[in-house]
Amino acid sequence: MDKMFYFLAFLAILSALMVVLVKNPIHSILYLLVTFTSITGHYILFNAQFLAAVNFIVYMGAIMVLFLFVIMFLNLNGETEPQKSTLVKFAGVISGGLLLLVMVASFKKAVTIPLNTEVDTQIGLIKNLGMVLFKDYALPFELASVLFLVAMIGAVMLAKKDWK
Amino acid sequence: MITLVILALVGLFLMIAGLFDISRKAVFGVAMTGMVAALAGNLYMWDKVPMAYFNRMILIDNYDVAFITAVLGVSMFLFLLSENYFGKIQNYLTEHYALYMFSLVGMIAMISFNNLVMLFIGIEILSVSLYILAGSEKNNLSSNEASLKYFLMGAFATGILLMGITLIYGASGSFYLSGIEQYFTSGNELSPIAYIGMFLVLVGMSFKVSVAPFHFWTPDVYDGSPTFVTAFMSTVVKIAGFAAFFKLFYICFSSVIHYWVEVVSVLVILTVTIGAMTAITQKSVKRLLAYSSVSHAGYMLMVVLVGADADNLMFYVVAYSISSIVAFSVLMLVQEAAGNAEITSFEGLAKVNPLLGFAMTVSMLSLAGIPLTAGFMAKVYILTSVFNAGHGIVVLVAILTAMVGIYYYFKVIIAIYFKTATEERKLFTYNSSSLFKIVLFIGIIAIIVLGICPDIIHNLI
Amino acid sequence: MITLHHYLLISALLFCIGLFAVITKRNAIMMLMGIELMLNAANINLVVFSKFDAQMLQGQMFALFVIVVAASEAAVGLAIILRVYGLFKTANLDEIDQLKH
Repeated sequence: MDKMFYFLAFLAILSALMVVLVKNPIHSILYLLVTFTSITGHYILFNAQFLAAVNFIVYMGAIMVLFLFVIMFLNLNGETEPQKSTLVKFAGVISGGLLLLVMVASFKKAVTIPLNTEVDTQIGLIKNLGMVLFKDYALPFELASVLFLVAMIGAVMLAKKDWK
Repeated sequence: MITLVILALVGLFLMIAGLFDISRKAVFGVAMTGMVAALAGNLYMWDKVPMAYFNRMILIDNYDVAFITAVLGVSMFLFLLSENYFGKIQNYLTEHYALYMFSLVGMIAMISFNNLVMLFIGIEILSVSLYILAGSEKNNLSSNEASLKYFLMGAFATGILLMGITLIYGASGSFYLSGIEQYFTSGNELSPIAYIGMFLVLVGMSFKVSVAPFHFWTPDVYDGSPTFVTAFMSTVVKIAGFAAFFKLFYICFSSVIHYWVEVVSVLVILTVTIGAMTAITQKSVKRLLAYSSVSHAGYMLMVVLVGADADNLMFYVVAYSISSIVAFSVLMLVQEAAGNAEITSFEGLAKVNPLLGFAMTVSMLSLAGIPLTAGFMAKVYILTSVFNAGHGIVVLVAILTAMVGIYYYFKVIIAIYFKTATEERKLFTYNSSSLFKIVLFIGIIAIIVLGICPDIIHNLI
Repeated sequence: MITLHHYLLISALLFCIGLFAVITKRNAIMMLMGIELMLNAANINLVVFSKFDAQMLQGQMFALFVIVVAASEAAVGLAIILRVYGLFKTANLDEIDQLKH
């Protein structure tokens, strides 16, 4: 279990770094896919099986393919990636690093309960989640449909050619 | 609750109506009727025992009813002045209306939330509709640029806000406001996670309501969007944003106010100063109003800083919204006639069209906070409560920047009354219907009446 | 032994890498990818904290809604980027400067 965790964590962070560091946007997306795969692995380790499946299908299957499609459609290869000034890079490192430092320092003091992954391995299955979703979270669930409707109208309105 | 359902259904109905050949007037009528019905359903909840719906997902008390009324009332007022805007839309007219309805649904969810999921989903529905509306002038470069910038900054803010929410959940173990409140008032030592969470939520919300130094997207987005959308964003959306901001901080974090009060007071000082200083050099009235909305956000943030007196916030947003809408509607007409929003286009407006000139003047006076207008009383209430809470420096900075504010608002008034229009501009016809004139007139009267007897809506909550 | 810290550390790292990407990248699509990284970092937090929740599933539920939001944002965002690219012939934010400051 521990080995699996360290492997997945290493993979996630390494490929996330590669997303930022590589020049070619298509490579970035492929590395992002690796990151998301390892995050899916973490979900399974955490008994969030349904969430892992959704992450796999929606994030990696739909969203990332959409990204890939748009990048290929716009023909953004390595050469069109603009040169960043060192100042911006520096600012990015400083702000990202500072936030990381503060977060890590605060987590050090936070609760240190060892995780017990053995309890109720069935908790993340559809049956349990469905009970919560349609009882407690019925209203957000309905509102999520409004959100999708808005996104759908928006995508059609913006992307379609005018007809007059 | 019924408000939410009515607005969502009206939105759906309008989308279906788009399939059929339906006249512009009918679409407008349906949208207005829907909003009136929603408003009635909302007012019915006034002064009832606070009610929780859907397993405490939303909880409606007088605070929520008052702010939902403000949101709906102000958007109806704005819609009455929208004839020119909707008249120009060729394609997807009903979809535009549906987007406005859905964004109202989002706003109501985020005002009446009792669970952070509702806040999050509400903010997202609102933001996603606004990204689309900002870019709705599809062949206009500025509109598209505004949409892209708004989208990137909005999504970035969502990420930060979400991280904050997760950390607060990690510390308190609940998404319900009551659970979070319990955790913060328990008196136990707080987990460091909670501080980081609080800080990230503060930053995320500041982005959304454009508080400095997280305001840098505001001028570009407000400038580039269609003027009606700008008016919608800087009034209705701001009401909802601050209602949610105040509610979250008042209920959840007010027991640990000593941890964030200094941060918020710095934000307030930065916001009023930057808003006023950068507005001075603006030549475009639209951009000037964008910066003025930043500095007014500073005043609204003062209510969060004090952590009490929701009725001050209520009065401020109503006074600010009415004044802004009057200004924006005059701007819309001038922009249409002159082709740009520069201050020079306003020169001699008082002679060419006295009503528009007078309306603009009254709204500028109210935004600047001159006595006998609603804006003055709003500022007085807020500054008094800030002073009583012991933030003397904030009050001092606010008064100094308000004086700077008078300078740039008067630049517009001087252009209207003391400059003469060019021959070409004298011939402009300002395309305003009689409905437009009546509504503008009501707006002017409301500004003055609220300035003289503010108790009509102050002290309601 | 794996503790809560390990997971918080991963999510903090991913979040900061995402933040770094948003700040340094000038290409709109790359910025959007940074934002996706930030959302995923928050999702890891939600699932982990869900372990300590009395009801066990609230965090996972929220994570589902985050995925919903990410999907709709990506759809609208990419539509906007396509539109902007069609007009400006670039997705580089430095070259999209119609609106002067």
